[in-house]
Amino acid sequence: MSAPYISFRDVCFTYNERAAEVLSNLNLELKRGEFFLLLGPSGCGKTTVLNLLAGFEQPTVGQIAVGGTPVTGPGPDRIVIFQGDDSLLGWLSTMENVEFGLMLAGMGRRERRARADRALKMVGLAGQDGKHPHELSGGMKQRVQIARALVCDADILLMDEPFAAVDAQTRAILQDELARIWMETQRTVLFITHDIAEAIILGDRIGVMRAGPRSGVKEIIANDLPRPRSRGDVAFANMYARIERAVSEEVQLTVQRETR
Amino acid sequence: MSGVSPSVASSSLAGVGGGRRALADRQTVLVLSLVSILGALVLWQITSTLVYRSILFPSFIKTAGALVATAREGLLLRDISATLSRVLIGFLVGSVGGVTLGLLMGSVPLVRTFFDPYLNFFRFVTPIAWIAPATIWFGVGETSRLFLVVYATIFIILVNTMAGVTRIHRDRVRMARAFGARSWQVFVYITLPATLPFILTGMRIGMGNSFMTVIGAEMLAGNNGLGYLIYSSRIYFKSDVMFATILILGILGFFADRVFDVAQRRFFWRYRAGH
Repeated sequence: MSAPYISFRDVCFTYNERAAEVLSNLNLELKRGEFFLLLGPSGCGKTTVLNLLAGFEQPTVGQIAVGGTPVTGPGPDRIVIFQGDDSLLGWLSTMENVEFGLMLAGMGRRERRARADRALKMVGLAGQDGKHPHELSGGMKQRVQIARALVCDADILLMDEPFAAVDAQTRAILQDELARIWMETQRTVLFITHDIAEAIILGDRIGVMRAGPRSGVKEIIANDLPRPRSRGDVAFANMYARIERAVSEEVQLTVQRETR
Repeated sequence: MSGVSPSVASSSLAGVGGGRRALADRQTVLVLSLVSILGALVLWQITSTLVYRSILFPSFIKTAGALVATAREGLLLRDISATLSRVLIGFLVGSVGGVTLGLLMGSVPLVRTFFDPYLNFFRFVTPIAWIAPATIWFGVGETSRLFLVVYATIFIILVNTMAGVTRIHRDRVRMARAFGARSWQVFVYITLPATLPFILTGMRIGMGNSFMTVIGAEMLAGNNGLGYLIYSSRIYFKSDVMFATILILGILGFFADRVFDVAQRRFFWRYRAGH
C-alpha cells in the first residue's frame, strides 16, 4: 500500500463553541486515483468532511493534507461538484460554464474551447454547448458540472450527492457513465451519498459514517466487485446486505435522537 | 418596499412563447390595449361634454387642442426637454451612486451594518419633504431639482443592488473559489453578473420615482419644465394646458419605461434568463 494521498488526522469540527462537535477525531486516508465513497445517515457530517477537504471550512482541531501539504483554503487542485445546480452560471452558455475554470486560470480561448468540447462529448452533451443552464434538465446540468470539473487538470474531484436531485432512471445512467469516465481519467474522487446502491456501483472503498453529532468514520468496506458493475447480480446483493447492516444501526440512532 | 424581485412588472412577457399562438396572443394584446385606450378617451369626451361640463374639467378634444397650441408656441418642447434632461441626469447619477453603494454594502457586512440605519431612515422620508431644505441649501436653481431626483432614485437602486449581492447562492462563490478565483475575480465574474437583474429592476423602479419627483421639484422650485407648466397653468386658469401636460407626462413615462425594457431585453437577456 502506497503512502496516503489525502489524509484527515484527528479532525474535529464545530461551527461555534456552544454547538456540539459535528466531527470528532475523524481519521481518514485516501489513496491517489481511488474512488472513495462516504456513506451515512443524513445530518451525520458527510458534507462537512467534503467542505473541509475543499477548504471551504477549516477544522477546529486536527489537520487535513493533500500530497503532504496541509489544506488551508480552496484550490484548483480540488474541484467540487455540488448537489444542486446553483453553481452553474445562468448568464453563461453550457460551453462557457465548462470553460469557466480555464478562463480563470488565464488559458487562451482556442485551447479552452477545444478542451471544453472534448469534455462535453465525454459527458454526452455534444451539441448542447450553446444552451443556457435553464434550458437543460436536472441530469444534463449535473453533466455540465462534471464536464466543468473534467476540463481542469485537478487531480481530486469532490462530489457532494451530485445525483440526489435527479430521477431514478437518470441517476442510474449518470452513475454508470461516471464510473466509465472515472476509469478513463483516473482521478481521485471523494463522493458523498446516502444511497447504498450508488456507493456499490461507484466506490473502490466505502466509508460508513457514525450518526452525528461527534461523527467519524465507523467502518471502511473494500468493494472489489469487478467493473463495470451491475445492480442485479448476487455479489452486488451480498455487498448491499453487508453495507446496509452497518448503515441501518446508524440510521436508527439518528431517528432515535431526532424523535426523542 | 417591494421590488426586490428581478421579475417585477413584466406583464408584457405574455407573448414570449414561439409560434402561431404567440402571434395570436400578441394581436389580442394589441387590440385590447387599443380598445382600452380609445374607450377611455371616448368616455372622457362624453363625460366632459354631456355629464359634467365645466372649465375645471376640459374635454379630450379641448385638451388636445391646447396641446397643439402650446406646442406651436415652442414652449412645450422646451419644457419637455428640460424635464427629461433632469430625469436623465438625476437618474444616471442616482444609478451610479445606488449601484456603487449597493455593491459595497452588499459585499462588506461591516459597511452594511454601519449604513443600514441611515438607509432605513432616509428611504421612508419622501423626496417632496426635502424640497424646502434643498431650496434653502442650493437655492431655487438646477442643483435643488437634481438633488431631489437623485434622492428619489438612489435608495431603491441601492436596496435592490444590495439584496442582489446578499442573495448570491453560496455555491456560486465556492465554485469560483475552488477554481482558484481571487476576490476581484469573484466580484467581476460572479457578484456583478448575478446582481445585474436586481440592479436593472431597481433602476426601472428608480426611473419611475424620478419621473414622479421631478414634477414636484419643478412646481415648487423652478421656472421651466413640465411641473412648472402645470403649476403656472393653474395661476392663469388654463385647465386644458394642465391636462395636456399631465397627458404628456404619462406618455413620456410610458415610453421611457418601454425603452428601458426593450434595451434590457436586447442587451442583458442572458442575465435575466433564469439567472
